[in-house]
Amino acid sequence: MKIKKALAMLCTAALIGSLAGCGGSAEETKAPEKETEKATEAAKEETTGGSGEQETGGGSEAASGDTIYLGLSAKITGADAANGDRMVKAATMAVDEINANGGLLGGRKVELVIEDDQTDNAAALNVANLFIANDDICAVVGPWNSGQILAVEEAYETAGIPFMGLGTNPSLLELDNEYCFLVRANDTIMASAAANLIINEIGAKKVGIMYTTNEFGTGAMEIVKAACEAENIEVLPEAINLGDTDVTGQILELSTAGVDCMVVWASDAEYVITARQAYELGLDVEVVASPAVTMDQVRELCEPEWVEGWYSVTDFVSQQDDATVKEFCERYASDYGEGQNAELYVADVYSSVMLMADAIERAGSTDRAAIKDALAETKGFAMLQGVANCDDSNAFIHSAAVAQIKDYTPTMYKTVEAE
Amino acid sequence: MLQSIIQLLVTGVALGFVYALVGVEYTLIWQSSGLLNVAHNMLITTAAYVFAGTFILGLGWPVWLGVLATLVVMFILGYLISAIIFNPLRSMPLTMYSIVGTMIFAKVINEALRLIYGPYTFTINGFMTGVIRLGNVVFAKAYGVIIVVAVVIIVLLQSFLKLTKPGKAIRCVSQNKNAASIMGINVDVSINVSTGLSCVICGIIGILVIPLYTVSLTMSNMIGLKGWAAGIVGGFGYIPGTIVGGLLIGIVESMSVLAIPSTYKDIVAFVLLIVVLLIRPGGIMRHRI
Repeated sequence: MKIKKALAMLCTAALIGSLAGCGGSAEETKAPEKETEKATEAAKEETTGGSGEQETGGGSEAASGDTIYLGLSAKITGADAANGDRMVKAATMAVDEINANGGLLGGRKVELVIEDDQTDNAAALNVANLFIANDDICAVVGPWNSGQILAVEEAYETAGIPFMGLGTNPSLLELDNEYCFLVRANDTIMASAAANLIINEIGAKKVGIMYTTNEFGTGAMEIVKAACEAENIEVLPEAINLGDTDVTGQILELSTAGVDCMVVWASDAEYVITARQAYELGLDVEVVASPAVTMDQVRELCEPEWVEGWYSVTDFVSQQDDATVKEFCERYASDYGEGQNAELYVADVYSSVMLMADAIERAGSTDRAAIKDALAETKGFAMLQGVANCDDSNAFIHSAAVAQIKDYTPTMYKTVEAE
Repeated sequence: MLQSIIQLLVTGVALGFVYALVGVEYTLIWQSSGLLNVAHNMLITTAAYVFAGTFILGLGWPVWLGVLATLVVMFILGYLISAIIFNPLRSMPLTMYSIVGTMIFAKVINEALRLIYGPYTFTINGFMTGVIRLGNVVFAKAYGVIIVVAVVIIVLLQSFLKLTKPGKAIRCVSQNKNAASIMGINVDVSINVSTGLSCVICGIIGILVIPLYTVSLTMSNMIGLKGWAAGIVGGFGYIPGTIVGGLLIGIVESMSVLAIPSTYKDIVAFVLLIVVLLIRPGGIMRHRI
């Protein structure tokens, strides 16, 4: 009986102890770490709290000369952990490539300082503060989500650290923060490209829009609706709540109304449900969708017949004739991807690190203000998603790629430049 | 119009049965040990991961073997969880401690699953996909399977509880632990068995919803919440009540899109919950055990 009590106390203590570590240190328990082969990355995930200690990754500890430290705010745990994992792999690949090519600023090695922002706004701010407290970090890549960027941009501006946000919410363009740089084409450009496709190529008369009720979906819906209605095309918006498990009602509404084109602008889970139920309920129309279907991890959740022929507006299409893209995808798949293919998360983070490295070279030093100025002066830097030109809102990319799903593979259809 | 109504009705009944089963599994634990198992949605997720990740995709077993193995694993898991974690928790001085304990347990399971299976969402291609056509009405094969399986489970469960000795023992324990123990029933074992049974039902739910939601860490959050609502609406702590509550929520929620914009569909379940709490707090089929 005493042993039982002691065991029970021990388990309860373990339960309470794990509350402190639910962000990452659960790894301290015996569970086999299968999600990454690199043991260094596992060490990085055991966050050492606010002590500002560096967790180096992607290279050896014995760096010759002064090492250049680049911060990476990745969503390693939390609701979007799968994509955070990709962010880490992509950044590691970029840094390894830079170091293999002789490093930066005359042979100095680059090292990543990776922190987990838990797909959460408050945690992103904690990560920002960690980086700010670390005097060696000259610049930061991440966070990804627009909400997280809004949470951290003031902190980085006050501390004077340039950072590369990967969000696409149009409100980020209004920030007027000279330290905040936006590397992806924003939602307005993407949604306009979708509207452009519907009006000029598909020639639809009645468009149904299935959109999730977050800013991502609602923002896009409004742009497409406005553009279509300006051309006298009837629009039927149908909202999907996040976490919604069934969209039969919405699809039936579109079906009964006789739409000849459907726009799907949703987050991953709702996207899959919409694809399945649209197919099951027999809604057989042209579809223009947000990037999710070009990503393996979403497309593989869909049966091929659900998404065949879908158009998708995205940052990056891995199946295209461009030689640089092909080489990049092959290298990622064989050396870093652990069996997965490169898609937009990988391409965007890899490009961000490369762009940051280029800015550091042009700045000629690791001085944060100099790097910030170099980023702002970027002109004609070729990236996987397109050519980077820094504009007045500190955004780099102004075009979107349209892919079409053919035989279950996203193939490049065309590139649409922003007006 | 009629076609839409039938379509929505089928969806509503299928999802209603899912909510009903969720309600049944936590009611089993509540009845037997008085513990509110807030981790139940993570147990559903665990079953889905074990079935899809380990047995079907990992070991390549056929579906029937995978199902059997998953249910066995879930029963053993439930028994162990009850013996090691839930039993000490239910003798805590405040109910709040035990509820918080199960909340943390849910978080531990979440991170354990992420570590073992990785953070990526996946699914079993071709598993219960396809549609069934009845005249003009088309519905997913998955819904048909859910309805049939749920009815079978409910019938089996009620038979077990009413006709078999272990089942009667479980009912005795839920009525009065002291009296049951005086009658010679091993209360601890009985509670462990009913938790094991609850986990088996979690297992069935987990397997059934894979074609609907794919396997991810957040797959059962919404149905877990609506399962609570099902229990409260139908009659908390009473299995037939929970089933009625679940079906009611499923059907009303599904049919509501005919009347209100689809954005508000989720609210329906919770508005129903509040209305029932205000008008008839014991639930529609309130019943003293």
